[in-house]
Amino acid sequence: MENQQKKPIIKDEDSDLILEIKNGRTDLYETLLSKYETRIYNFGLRMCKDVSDAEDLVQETFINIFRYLKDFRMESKFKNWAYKIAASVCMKIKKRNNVTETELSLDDILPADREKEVSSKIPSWVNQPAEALMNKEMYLEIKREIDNLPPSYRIILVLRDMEDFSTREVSEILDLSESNVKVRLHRARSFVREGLKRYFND
Amino acid sequence: MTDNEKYSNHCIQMFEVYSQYLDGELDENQRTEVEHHIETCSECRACFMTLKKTKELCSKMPRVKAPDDFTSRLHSRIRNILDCK
Ligand SMILES: [Zn+2]
Repeated sequence: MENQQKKPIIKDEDSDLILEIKNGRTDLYETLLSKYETRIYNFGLRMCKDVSDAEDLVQETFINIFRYLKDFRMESKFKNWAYKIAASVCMKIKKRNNVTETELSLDDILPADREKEVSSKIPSWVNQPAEALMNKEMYLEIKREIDNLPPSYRIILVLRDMEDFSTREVSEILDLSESNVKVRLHRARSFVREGLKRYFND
Repeated sequence: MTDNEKYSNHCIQMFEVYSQYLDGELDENQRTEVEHHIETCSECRACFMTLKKTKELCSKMPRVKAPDDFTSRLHSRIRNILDCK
């Protein structure tokens, strides 16, 4: 459209590299790939229960990134655009695996053990530094809780608490309202919290 | 009895905004309200503290390195696709 306002180009740490690639330096694809492969691989591992699904996610994501880079108008950070692509690949894998989406209700996430003596004490794990708690077993426990989240909640917790995006960025990546992101994030965290409480037997 | 009935409405109202509190997304009035509630309601304080720790633990989940055979396959696959263009 003629009079449609063009959004300004966003300058970020990747802009120069992206511009060079867009201007024909295709050899620099390798640099971009190397920079983001570990991040996207870990996003895949966090989103998929299965390692081979995670590997598919990484491969499909980068194929799409390089396929559509010429259309990327640099109106958002490259990283955010890349995650938008990764998120849509994720949806495809979810469909392929026939994963059904469920909602988490308030009843699913409110502490079941409300009796005073059980839950009013601050459990001891709360006072231990996260670094001291984080070991292989803890990692697997959190991974298991995350795997048990319905996918539309899981992706929000992963993007907000593990991939370090802001509420606003997540709402842009997933095309959701910010309030929707906040509600889902809180339910997802509360769900994981219930799992950790069971794990620590509190 | 559902779990909901073990809570006062105010506890539930507060519970619903704990994450926003932790993320610095509440205005000052709401912040003060949450702080007052968790000081006075021990069940909610325990719940709030465990939620806070849960968020912290999630953010401390380490990243793993992709296996070398996977990345070399990925790089050559991408190279092939680009060379064909
Ligand atoms: Zn309360």
